[in-house]
Amino acid sequence: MSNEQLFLEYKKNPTIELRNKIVEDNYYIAETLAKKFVNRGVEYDDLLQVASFAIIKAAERFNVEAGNKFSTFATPTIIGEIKKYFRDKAYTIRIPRRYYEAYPAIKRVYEELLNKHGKVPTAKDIAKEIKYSEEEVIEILESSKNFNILSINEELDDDGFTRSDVLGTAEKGYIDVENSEIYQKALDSLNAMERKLIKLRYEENLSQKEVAENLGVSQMYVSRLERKIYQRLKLVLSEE
Amino acid sequence: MDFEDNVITLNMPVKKEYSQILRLTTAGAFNQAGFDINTVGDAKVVVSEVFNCLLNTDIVQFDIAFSIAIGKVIMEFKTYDDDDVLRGANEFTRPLLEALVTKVEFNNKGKLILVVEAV
Repeated sequence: MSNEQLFLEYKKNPTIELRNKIVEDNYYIAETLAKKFVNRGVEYDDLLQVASFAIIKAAERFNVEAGNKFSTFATPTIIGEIKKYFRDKAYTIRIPRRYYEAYPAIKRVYEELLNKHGKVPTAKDIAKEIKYSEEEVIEILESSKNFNILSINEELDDDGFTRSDVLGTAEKGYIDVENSEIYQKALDSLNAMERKLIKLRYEENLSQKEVAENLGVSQMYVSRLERKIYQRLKLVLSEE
Repeated sequence: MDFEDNVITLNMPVKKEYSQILRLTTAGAFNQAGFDINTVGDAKVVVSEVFNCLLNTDIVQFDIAFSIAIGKVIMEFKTYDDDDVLRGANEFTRPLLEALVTKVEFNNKGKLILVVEAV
């Protein structure tokens, strides 16, 4: 049965079996597109998995009667999902992890080759020794400039003036004042009974049972009141 | 940054071994325009795809020009004898290009113009 016939049949009879048959017959689309995005910090298997889900979605949505080929319809869907995956999972990683991890190996091979042959090796020489292409070796060496960490003890001039001398620090006192103001405002929103409960529970560290005895109420009441206070404080503090 | 003074043109032989030069130049151009690492990666996929199409033909030489501005790069592929740049395209090529760049333009002289613009 041709692809078109399969889709027409699936339209009449949308069973999982037919959908799976369509996906199997067109799986090369997912494989081809996933391969185009390798070497970008995400493993091929992960890309293929994303592409596989996308081709299932595309198969379910494709309208064969619109006259387009399935590959024309599925390609943007699959690429969209792969791009979304990169954006969501890999966006914050500015340097792909495998590049970061590869740098020490490249550096080691570089030094070995330099010592062995007495001349600076090329990217091709290094690539031959490890599992990266020439292009990747060049890119890793380029990106390595971005993962060197500066030392705060590095002297910036001859007088022993270090980087730490010019770094600011957070003044704890400001935070304490700010927190105490917010805390006071939150407590002011409670009535006398509620304030007393907070004082006994969190300043004197009494158990709910002990607080209940102290206030002459049941433990159940203390528990419920505490939950109510907690919700109110959360609201007041979130407004801050 | 103005396009006028920021155009890089390569005149390249259609040989597999030069795809690295094309990809690295593309990465440099997109990086210079301020694109994030994912868009730089997408741009490399795009130029590789076009280059693969050229490899499927008997075209021996082509020009590519990168016009660079902050947040925008225009890539213009042109062959000699006005051959269609995408003559060797497969079923994925056009939808792939359309999915990865902001705008795809063809002209009747075989020139392919790809525009990538920051959202």
